[in-house]
Amino acid sequence: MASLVSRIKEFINGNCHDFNQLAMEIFADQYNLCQPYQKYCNNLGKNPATLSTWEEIPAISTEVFRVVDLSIFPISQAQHIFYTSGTSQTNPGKHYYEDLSLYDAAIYNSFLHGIGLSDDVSCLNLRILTPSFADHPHSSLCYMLSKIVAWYGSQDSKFYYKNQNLDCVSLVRDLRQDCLHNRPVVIIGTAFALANFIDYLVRNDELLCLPSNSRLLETGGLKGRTRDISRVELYKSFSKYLGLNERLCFSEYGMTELSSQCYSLANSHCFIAPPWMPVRIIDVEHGTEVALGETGLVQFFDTANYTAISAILTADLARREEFGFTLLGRAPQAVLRGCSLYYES
Amino acid sequence: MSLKLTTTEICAILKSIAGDWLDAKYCLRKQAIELAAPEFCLSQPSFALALDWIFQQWIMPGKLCEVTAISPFPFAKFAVQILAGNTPAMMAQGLLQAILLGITQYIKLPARQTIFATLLQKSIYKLIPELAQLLTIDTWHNQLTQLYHGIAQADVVLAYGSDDTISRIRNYIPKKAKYYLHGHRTSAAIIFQDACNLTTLHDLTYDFLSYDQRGCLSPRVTFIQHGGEIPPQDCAHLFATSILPRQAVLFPRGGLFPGEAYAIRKQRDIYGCQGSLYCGDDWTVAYLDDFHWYLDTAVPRFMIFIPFTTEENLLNILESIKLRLLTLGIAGQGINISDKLNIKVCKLGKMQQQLLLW
Repeated sequence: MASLVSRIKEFINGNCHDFNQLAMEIFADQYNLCQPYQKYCNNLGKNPATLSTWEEIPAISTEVFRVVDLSIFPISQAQHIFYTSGTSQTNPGKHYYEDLSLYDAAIYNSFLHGIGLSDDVSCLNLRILTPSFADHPHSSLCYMLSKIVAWYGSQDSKFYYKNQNLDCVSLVRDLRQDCLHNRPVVIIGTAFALANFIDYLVRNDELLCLPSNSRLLETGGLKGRTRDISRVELYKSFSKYLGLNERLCFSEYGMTELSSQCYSLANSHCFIAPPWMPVRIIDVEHGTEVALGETGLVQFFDTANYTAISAILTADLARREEFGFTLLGRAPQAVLRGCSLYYES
Repeated sequence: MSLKLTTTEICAILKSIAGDWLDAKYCLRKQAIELAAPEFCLSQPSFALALDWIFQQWIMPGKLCEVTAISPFPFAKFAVQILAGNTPAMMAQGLLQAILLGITQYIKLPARQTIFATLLQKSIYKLIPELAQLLTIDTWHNQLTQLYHGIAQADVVLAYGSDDTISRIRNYIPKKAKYYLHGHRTSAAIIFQDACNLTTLHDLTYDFLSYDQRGCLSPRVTFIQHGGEIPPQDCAHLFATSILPRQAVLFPRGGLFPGEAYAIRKQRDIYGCQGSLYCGDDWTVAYLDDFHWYLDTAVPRFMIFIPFTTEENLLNILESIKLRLLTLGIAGQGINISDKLNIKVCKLGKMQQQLLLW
């Protein structure tokens, strides 16, 4: 197992390995060591002896994480547990980790490129619109951003959450200083938090003009707002109220059930998956990959997810593009149908 | 306004309309099969069978004609109906209720399901235009002001919908009105050990495949007792691999509504990690050892088998889900569940023949 983890890390770091071979070994371990997954694969008549390509490896819906513990090690040995979030979650999903080295490797090898920077950047002025990992120890997003601050953040980098609320006052104050001293910033937050911040600027008649080369990373999650705003409107507001170049605004796509992330092209909802997490867009009714330009659900094989399950089917709709996929929203929810007789008078 | 029809007159109307709809050459029937079947995501053969079941009930002796003699709404002048769209039977029932009431009515159809109700109204109009003219049939759309205004004037409100819709509607019903409100419920099958045989599984197939399991009378879960001629898991396996494939030829599955493919896939994945799965192209059968893994979701053509040991074991399970249950289809000799839990019961194989009138 240790040898396979090393080879996965090497692959993530860019060293050549046969991806298919790696994927089949990962599948074999997950099949042999995760009993619910083994049961699932057996129900489909698939096991390591019968498959030869990574595309055939059975993918599991993210929903299963809410109901079943998916792990190749005893969960009592977990050092970290990330919980899924969401407005309608009564039973959050759990992702167990013995250690986060693969997770770190995935972040390390994708973040800088994801926001259009080169590897030699070392000191970023980070303004983070989420709680810190210390305050939210079960959030994978907060963990990721805390690592990014630790690796690349300047001394002035900060998280802007106080008492579970976005601290817009401090953020505006610090951004004004950044403007004054011509210090480019990287603002990172969920779409929800960013929209709230824009609302604050509008209400208080504030307009900022951030230094050139400042950039923004939005990490998804527009649902649940009290006011509807489209993604296009939101990105236009980054330009209008923050003075950001739209070509330096990016999106990140990840989830608790995965260990790796995808980043968008600038000012776009077209995402590129990293080489260690190939993506397929699936016609869920027939279980086949859709043609280019067609729509289906996003499915990954995340090698960094080695200690859980790598083949994951998400609930996100996307259009298959030549080099990635364009996110279109969540899969429609089936409407409950049925009836009863309940007499009242 | 109302039409004061006698019971004899009402029965004659129902028989005449039903007789037309049971005639394979009837033009409105042919239009319905071709154009309305996709509204319910049913195949044309399944929709045609559905029409036969629906209208045979209208003319069956001892059924509707006797019900019509007792109207609980003798003084009503205006009614509002909000119809369900999960099966054509529910929609036909709405129009049947319209005939039985014989008063001015505002009938709200489910979104994008207008053809069948419109054709039914046409067939009423051909026979008794005065009655058809009492009915205002409207589609469901986001603008609900007219609906709520109508409810506030109604003497009678009959509504089917999600629990959320029902809660909202209840707020508008005037104190003086009578109302029947139908939220989301499901049905289940019970097979006692003396009935664990192939005949019972055939009966179960009939109730399961009818309407693609979209009806509220369709069994979603089968509780099957240990100790019978065929063990429970073998029953599930036989049902899925031997009986269903043969019977499904008579009931080809229709399409899927948006979101259903993913809902089926999620459910397959969850049960696939916990139990045994037997999947065909158009159906899924899951066998779960443990009732606690059961999820109350309604996707089409998805049957769950759960074993039980004693009747006490069964009662405990049913007690925990009885608020969600409408009807139990029963095979074999066992405890009198209807008395114990106050749930409607019927014979397995006849579940779709239950009437849901007042």
